[in-house]
Formats: sequence, C-alpha cells, structure tokens
Amino acid sequence: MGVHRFEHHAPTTLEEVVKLLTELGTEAKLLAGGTDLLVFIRHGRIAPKHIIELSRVGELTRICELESGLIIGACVKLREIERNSVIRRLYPHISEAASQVGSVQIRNLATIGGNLCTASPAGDMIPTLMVSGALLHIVGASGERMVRIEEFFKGPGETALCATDVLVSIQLPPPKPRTGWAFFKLGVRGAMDISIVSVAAKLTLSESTSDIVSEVKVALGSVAPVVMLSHSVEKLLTGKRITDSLIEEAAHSVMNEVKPISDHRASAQYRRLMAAVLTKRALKTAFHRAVGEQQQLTQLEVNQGSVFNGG
Amino acid sequence: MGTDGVGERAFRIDAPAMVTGKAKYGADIHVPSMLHGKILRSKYAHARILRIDTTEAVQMSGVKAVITADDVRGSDLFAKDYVRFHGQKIAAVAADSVQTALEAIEAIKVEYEPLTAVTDVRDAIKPDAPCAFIGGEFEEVRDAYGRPLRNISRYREFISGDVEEMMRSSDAVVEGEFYVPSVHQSYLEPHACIALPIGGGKVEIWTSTQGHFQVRSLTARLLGLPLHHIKVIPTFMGGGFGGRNTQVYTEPVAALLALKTGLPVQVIDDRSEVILDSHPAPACYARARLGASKDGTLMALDAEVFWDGGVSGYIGASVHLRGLYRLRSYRIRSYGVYTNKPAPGAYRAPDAPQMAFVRESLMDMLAREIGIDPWELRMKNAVEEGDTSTDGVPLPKVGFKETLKALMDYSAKTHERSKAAFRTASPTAHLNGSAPSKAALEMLGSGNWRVGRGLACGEWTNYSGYSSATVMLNEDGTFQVITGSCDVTGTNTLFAQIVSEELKVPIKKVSVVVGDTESVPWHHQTGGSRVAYTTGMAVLKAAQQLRERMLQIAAKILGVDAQELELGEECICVKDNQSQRVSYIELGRACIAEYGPLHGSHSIAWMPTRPAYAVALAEAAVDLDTGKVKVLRYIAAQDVGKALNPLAIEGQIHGAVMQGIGWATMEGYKYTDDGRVANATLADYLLPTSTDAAEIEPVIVEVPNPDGPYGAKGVGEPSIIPSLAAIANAVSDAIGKRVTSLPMTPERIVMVLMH
Amino acid sequence: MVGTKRVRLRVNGDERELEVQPYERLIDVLRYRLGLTGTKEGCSTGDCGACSVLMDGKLVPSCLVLALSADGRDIVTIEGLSSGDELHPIQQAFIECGAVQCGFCTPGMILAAKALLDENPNPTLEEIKQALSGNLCRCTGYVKIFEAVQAAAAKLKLSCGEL
Repeated sequence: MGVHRFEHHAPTTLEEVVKLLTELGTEAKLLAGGTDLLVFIRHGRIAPKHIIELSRVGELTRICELESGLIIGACVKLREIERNSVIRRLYPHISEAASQVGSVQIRNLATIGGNLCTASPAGDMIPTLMVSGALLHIVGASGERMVRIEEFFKGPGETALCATDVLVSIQLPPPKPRTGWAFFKLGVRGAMDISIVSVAAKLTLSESTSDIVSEVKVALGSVAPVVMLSHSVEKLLTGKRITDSLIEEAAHSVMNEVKPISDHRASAQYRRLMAAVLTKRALKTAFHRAVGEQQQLTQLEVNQGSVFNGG
Repeated sequence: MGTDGVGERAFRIDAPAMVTGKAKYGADIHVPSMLHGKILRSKYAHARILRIDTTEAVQMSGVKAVITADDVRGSDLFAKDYVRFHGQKIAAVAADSVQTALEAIEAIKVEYEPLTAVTDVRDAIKPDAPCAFIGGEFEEVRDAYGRPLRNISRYREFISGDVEEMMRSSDAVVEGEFYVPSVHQSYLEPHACIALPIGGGKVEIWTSTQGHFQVRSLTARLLGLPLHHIKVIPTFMGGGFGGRNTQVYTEPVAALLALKTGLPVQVIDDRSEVILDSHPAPACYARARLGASKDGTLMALDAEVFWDGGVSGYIGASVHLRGLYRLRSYRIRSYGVYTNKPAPGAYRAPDAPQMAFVRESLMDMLAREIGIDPWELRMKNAVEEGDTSTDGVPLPKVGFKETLKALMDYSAKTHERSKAAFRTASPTAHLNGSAPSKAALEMLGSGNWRVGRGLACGEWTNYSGYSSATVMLNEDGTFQVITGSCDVTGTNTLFAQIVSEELKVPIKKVSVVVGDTESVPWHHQTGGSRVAYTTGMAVLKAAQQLRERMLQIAAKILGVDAQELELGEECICVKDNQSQRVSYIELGRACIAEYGPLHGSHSIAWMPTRPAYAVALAEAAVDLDTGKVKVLRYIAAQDVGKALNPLAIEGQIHGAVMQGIGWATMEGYKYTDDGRVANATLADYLLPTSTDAAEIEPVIVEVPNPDGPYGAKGVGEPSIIPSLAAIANAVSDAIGKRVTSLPMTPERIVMVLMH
Repeated sequence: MVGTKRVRLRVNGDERELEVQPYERLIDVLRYRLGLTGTKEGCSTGDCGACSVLMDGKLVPSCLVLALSADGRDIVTIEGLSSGDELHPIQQAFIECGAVQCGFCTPGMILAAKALLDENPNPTLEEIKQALSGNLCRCTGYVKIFEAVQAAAAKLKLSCGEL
C-alpha cells in the first residue's frame, strides 16, 4: 500500500537505457506507461530503488509499415494501437483487444510493450500478438536478438528478458490473403475488466475458394500461468474443411488443454468451460472474416464495444 | 426563468462549485504546517495481538506522534488484545509527509497469534464453526430444525397467526434458500478529514459526513472528550448512501494526533482502507416459504433470516420481509451472527433490499406456481388504508396500489419500447426466455441471448428525526437559510425552492448554509430519506414565520394593515394599490436600522411519517453460453407524495436503481480462506461503469401525504428496495431457472444453468 | 540518495516550475503544490477516473503519472475549463441536466467528456458510454450524465456555427 521512495531516470536513447540497466541492475525497473508498475509499487508488490522512464526514447514509440510486415514500438500507447488505421486494417483483432483494455485514460498511458512485459496471464494484448506470429526485438547489454512471442513468457510476471534487456519493438509478419482474425474477452462488466478468459484466433483459408483451413492459431489468456497457444485446435482444423461441428469439436478440445486456476475472479471449472465458448466464437468470427463477410465484421466491432471515437 | 418554486426542476444551487472544482471535500482543506496521518491496520482477519512495538517508528525523523490503544484507554478506536477483522485499526502515525507516515507505520512491529476466522454467515452458524468473537456474548438458540447454532449474537421473532395451519390450508407453497452478499456503499470520496487544535484542549474537525453531530459524539466517546471540546464542520461530501451516516472513520484518529502534536493533521484513507475498514451493508442468508390459496390469496410466510453481523453481531430488520402484502399469518425468526468482518452499517434503505429479494422472489415463484400474472398477484394482496403496517399499526391512506397501477399504465403505454422482446399479452407477464428483439440484439452483440422480465415491489417509511431551520432576510433583500442537515441529494436546493415558493422570490436570491456543530441546534444525521421531509418542513415553517414578520414590518412602514399586503418577486405591496410598496431591499435595510433583524425559525422534534412504495419492472438479457447478464430496461415507479423537484427525484431513482443493478449483478465482498478481503481495490471490487448502465425510466407517482411538506414523502431510498428482486426475477425468467444467490455474475448463472 | 528534481509544467495555461520528489505523482503536485484540489483522488490505482486531467490534450489518470513524467507537458484540470464565472458548455450542461449529485466524480467526468467531444463532436450514446467507462459515478446511474454530454455536444455545435 505504501508509496516508496525511488530515484527517477529519463534517458533519451536506447544505449542510455541499457547503460543504466547495466549500472543499476535488479534495483531498477523500467517505466513504460506506469499503469501496472505504479500500482504494483503502491500495493507494495515491488519496491524498486530506481525507475527508468522510457517515454523519452523516441524509437520506442514508432509504428512502421514495411514490406516485411509491421513494426510497433514497445512504448506505443494502447490508445494508438486501438485507433491506428494501419493496424485496424491489417490486424483488426489487435485494435479490438487494445480497445478493451481498461479505459480511455488508461489506454492513453498504457503501452503495448508494457502489457507484454507485465506478463500477466490475463494480458489482453498477448493472445492477439501470439496468433499473429509476433517477433519481439530485444536489446540488451549483450547485443540484440529476436524472440518468438510464444517463447517470451516464462511464468506469471516472468519473461525471457534479463536484467539489462529492453523490449524495443514487436514485429508482425504481413497477413496472408484470406485470413480472418478475432479476439474475445469475458469479464463481468461492460468495460474496465480484467479478463476471466480471453481468446484470440487467426484462421487462414487456402488460396482456392474452398473452406479448407491452411493455417489456424488460437491463443488463450487467463487459463494457464502464461498465455497459451492451443495445439489441439491447430491439429484438428489444419487442412480440414470448416464446418460447425468441426469448430464445436475444436472448441471442446481446448478444455482438456487449458490449466486454469480458481481465484476470486472465477473458478477453474468456469474458466475451462468459457475457454471452449470463446474459442468457438473466435473461430467462427475469424472464419467469417476470412471469407470476407464484411458486414459481420462491422457488426462485431459494435458488439464488442470497440467503437472508435472520431477516427 | 420563473421563481423555481416547489415542484419545479430547479438546478442545484451548489453545482457551479462542483463543476468548476471549487467545492471543498474532506481531503481538500489544506493548512500551513499540516501533518499527515496514516493508520496501521491488521493484516489478519482474526488474531491475538501479542506485542506492538512502536520504538522504531517513534524515532524516525519527521514522525511527530505515534498512537495505539494505550493512548485511548477504554475505547475501541484501536485494537488492543485481538484483531477481529482484516483492516482493523491498530496504530496511527502523524508525520511531516505522507511518505514518512507510511514508512513509519511499516516500521511498527506487531506480533500476532493468528486465529481461525469465519467470514461467511452460512459457515459461522454451523456447529463446528470457530468462535468469531472471543469474549463475546452469545445467544443459545436453535434453528427451525432444532439444530444448535453457533456465533449467534441476537435473536428475535415476529409471529402473527398460526403459520403451520395456514401452510396446511394453502393450495400452493413455494420455498427457497436465499443469499445476498455484503456490499459497500462505495461512495466515491474516500474517508478524509483534517483536525486542527484550537487551544484549550479543543479540536476543530473538517470532515465529509452525513452527520456532523454524530461525528462529534462518536469522536468524543472514543477519545473521552467533552462534547464542547470538539467542533465539527461538514465539508462537501462525495457520496454517503448511509455509509457516513452515524459513523466515524478518520476523524477520531486525526483529532487525537492533532491534540498530541498541537498541529493540524490530515488523515485520508485510501480506497483499500475504505473497503476494509468501514460499515458495508450486511450479507444475509434466509430460508423461507410462502403459501397461498389457488386464487392467489397469501396465507402464510415462514422464514429464518441470518444476518452477517460482523464484529457487532448486527441483526437486521427482518420485519421488512413481511412488508407490504396482507398476510393471514407469518413467522419470522431473525438471527444476528458474529463474523470476522467490520460492523455492518446503513446502506440506502438498510436491510430492505435483502428482505425484498427474498419476498419478491417467492412472490414470483408463487405467480408461476398458481399461473397468475405477477402484477395481478401483487395487486390482489397489496396493503391499503386500514391494513396493518410493518410496525403493526393500522395504515393510513397509502399509495401502493396507485404505484402498481402507475407502473402498469406506463408499461402498457410504452410497451413498444420494450428492449427485451416483442409484445406480450400483459406488459408485466413473464417472457419465459424469449429471443431478444432486434433492437436489443444490436446492442447486445454476439451471444446466445435470452430475455426475461421481472417485477418486484418495496416499501419504505422514511425517518423523521430532529431538525431546525432559520430563514433570514438580509439587508440587501436577499435571503439566508441555515439548517444543520448535510446536503447529500440536493436538499439545500430544495430549501431554496421552499423559500422561493413561500416568499415569491427568485431562487438565485436565496443562499443556503449548513451550520457546524457550534452554530445550529443538534440535528439527526442526513439519512432515512428524512432531510427534504423534516428539515424541509422546518424550512417551510420558518419561511412562513418570516413571511408573517415581513408583512408586519411592511405594514408598519406603509401604514396599512398587514392583511392588505401581498408578496411579490421584489417587494411587498398593497393588494389594491400596487404602487404602494416596499421593496425587500428597503425592508431589509429598515429592519437592520430600525426594527431589528428579521428571521423565522422553526424546530421539529418529531413528525409523523407514512410508507412510500417502489414498484419496478426489469427487463434483462442473459447469454446462456457465458452467463453474462445485461439489464436492458428498468421501469421504476415510486410514490413520492409530492414531487418537490422532479429533476432531483429522477436523479435519486436513477442512482438507486443503478446501485441495485450493481448489487444484483457484480458487487460483493470476497474473502480468502483465512478471512482476508480478496478484492480490496476497485479493480477487483467491481462497481457498475457507464457501459453497464441500463435504460432507467422513472415513473413518479404522487399520492399526497398530509403530514409531509406540500404532501411529500421520503424519496432517496425506496427505489433500491425492489431492484435486487426485480433483476433476479427477470434473469430467472430469462433462463428458466430460479437464481437465489447474488450477485448474478456470469459464473453463477452458468452454474445455475448446469445444475 | 534521493533528491528533488526540477519539473516544468504548463497548468491551465500558466507556466509552473517546481522541485519535486521523484516519487511524487502529478495529482500530488496539482493538489498539494498548486492548490488545485478540483482534481479528486478516489482510488489511487487508475480504476475510478476521479483524478482524470488532460495532458497534452489526452485524458490521463493523474494518480498514475509521475510528476517528472509530466515534465514539459500541458496540463488542463477542471479549474482550467471555465474562464472566470463563464462556464464551459459542458459544465453548464452538467448543471442543467442534473448530471451532478455529490460532485466528486464530476471534475474527472467533465474532462472525460471534453476529451471525447474534442475528438468526436457527434458521439453516439454507445460512444459516450465507452468514452466515460473509466469514470465511475455512484450517484446518478449515469443516465443524466449521458444526457449532459449529448446536450453539451449540441451546444458546442451551435457555438461553432454548425447546424
């Protein structure tokens, strides 16, 4: 509950950040948006002696569209992810997930990299990035590297980052044609909820006009120590023609795959059931979008409350 | 713009201060050299305190005082030998910064011997339950089945007629086990005050409260001070809903720290402290059955009600269960139960929503059982003049049937606006899990939605209490109202409206102030829907007295008989000769110069009151796959006697209903296995957001109350009473299964559907 | 080890320069250093919205912004919305629609409404609900707040000469 004393650093380049991390070691914490970090400090969950603020490092806040895909800086605000026209066009599920995190004021602070590095099993950005095949660009004292997102999470609050590492950006490969995406989260309220279960799906249909699945990915949040990809869905659907009963079967299969816990938000039993319900919805929506049912898409945007102001 | 008299939709006179940020709340009074106080709280729900060591904290630089139970002997301000709930106060510190104060309380070492805690009333009564209150006094009683009960603090029963016989002669009997969780009032402003030592052992406290006289007496009792050594000045208040009714939080701590240090001390609870150490509405567990003849005549109600009484072993007013229908017989056994939680407190119509949930659920079950429209069943049994009231006396003219009819009329008239489904034969009939209308589906989005409809009723008699008022004419022709009732709902605006009505002056010429404990006679707290009623009546009488005196002086000035005069917007003039007049400015000046200051004053020791009724029709959608509940539309009919300010009344109804929606669908304390609160933040203790708002349609009914000001009745509370039941009935209707436990979270609905 | 640092803020149009502790929050500076107590603290964890202010035009919870993070930024609090006794149309609409009860959520709510209307002068009811979802109100049931935002939108359009 306390407000601890700490020293504040505001470097302007990545090199300075890494240098500071090297000097200060585990007593330092990186501050991106602060919506998790400052709450954790207030609740006494962590008590860093140094805070290194990243907001003044310009290269962390850019979004670049390249032929090789999209690069999103780690400190891009969720509000921008929600509204950015390129992301909304190419990866609508990522925008939709962003729009469902916290509130407008939270999303004006919170960053996509922060959502990843907090490594909550309920982090809403993680499933969408996982089904998108995101690569994470990390820079540290020992150089730079790319890490596949599914290898990034080691446990609740634990990542592959070592003490001197900084997550710089998230790289997304360009979506293949005839790909549909979806993201669903379940909470109690209409907004401001920590997910009881969240599911993201990507479904790519083969080039022809048939309904054969060439690639499918389903990622689930809040049902295991880290956000997880479903292997059973991939196995059941890849190469198959999509039918309602097949989707039903795939959704059912995730119940045996997830490893949820019971806590004050929900029981393990309920989470297991809802993993199937949301998987079914996500697969159906992704399928509809893959075959280009635009009307469905608009409708769903409204339904999920991902209504964009202005834009 | 008119005079904004009684019955007008007058804007709040204090709103300009609020919308500009100028209004000062409990935490907003800052003075030079002010210290900051922080409170050390128990991290256990139940433990023996073996040792408290403040040595290190006392020696810290910047720390000015450390206080524990040893500083207030014989008072339960701080825990001494035992802590009996998570978050109980153990010690407090005053320091020159918040940081230092926080570090100092962390430096206080407390050695505990943890004890087993019990935080669920259903567990606490079991024969093998741990003792929740070591050294407490218990009632040795058994339940209806003859089983011995543990942790019972109080027992009461209410009996009329032969219940067993009447049950036997009933054609239909429905029964259920019900549970309503403890919820926090969740006023948005955390507890906050500043205490200033003013010499001679006296202290002045600025605080956000519903009752500054109650803060004074409780603080005096806890600190062992005489009343005249404590002055309490109420600030603006960021919501109370009963939670700041007759309670103190930070005030005695701040006062003691101020007296110890000789410096002003500000104490602000953070949200977790508010959730942990306050006085929420009690949880309630009930087993009840209701019998009726096949034409719907209610024969018998038999119930056992267990109140989750926390450390005070509070027992709720189970008599509300009997409520507002003619009953041939009833037997209500009521138990107060000790648990390891703070003492429950008042929350908007205390105990009535829990009881209405039980009763109105049973009524809904009965309507289905005997195949009668839910509205017809209520109408058939509704009390009216001459029936016996909840308090056992014959009822005067009341407005229950009128309110039921108003709801039916409104529903019928607006039937096509139903959000839930297409037309049914009766606007109150069950929908039996219909598919949602197209409009509703558009709003709800994907999901396996079914909709239902639920009706419920509530009764509430407002409190009277003591109030007084003074209305003065200022020397520039403006007016000043002084009362001692803290404004929670816009009552100061109403007082200005009353003066405007009685003296025919524009509302903008009237100023209203709440006097502190040294400026006005003792008042009851703001609560029980009593302020517009009792204080309003005092203002009305004071204004009338002032009017008579103004007319008398004006008559002297004009040299005419007072009977020949009438009041206008700016002046008093002779009825037959408008040019012969004296303006309020002239009158005000003349009084100061010659006749003496003019005011009217009135005190009320007690006023008769009458029950008011709230009838609600909720339409809710439920996603059968996820269990998610969405209240689509909510019609709230309420008898207000006379609508003194419809704008304010609509606001009261909207707010009460939304709190009911929260209680019914998401709110509630959760505990860990060892009895600590598991959701002591607003990320975990869920309150409804704007996205959870339903379309709430108030229907204002006016059945005059000859005893109230202009015919008014108490307004703030009634509409929360039927809300839990109305929504639960709607959800049960939607899913085809009865929900008897709250809140109706998605998980609970799915579990009900599975079993 | 810990020392104060200089921070420059533009608050309601005024340049302010002050020494702050690294762990001081923007809300602390506003309320305790600058006396701007219109910004309310309801939860300290970003869950209630009462402390919302505009930072470079964007709505943020000032309890989750370090004072040093706000260095060089433009801050608007509720005190900066009206000029003298002349109320901003949103403030006026809140009064006239009965959208103010206890008033504690009101400053944050009004700033959230302003952030919405600055970006989207014609919001739908659904958009209003979404935009205000981070600002809890316990008194009004939100109904009259929605009406006030709609009324303010209409007023602002008129004052811009739109029809």
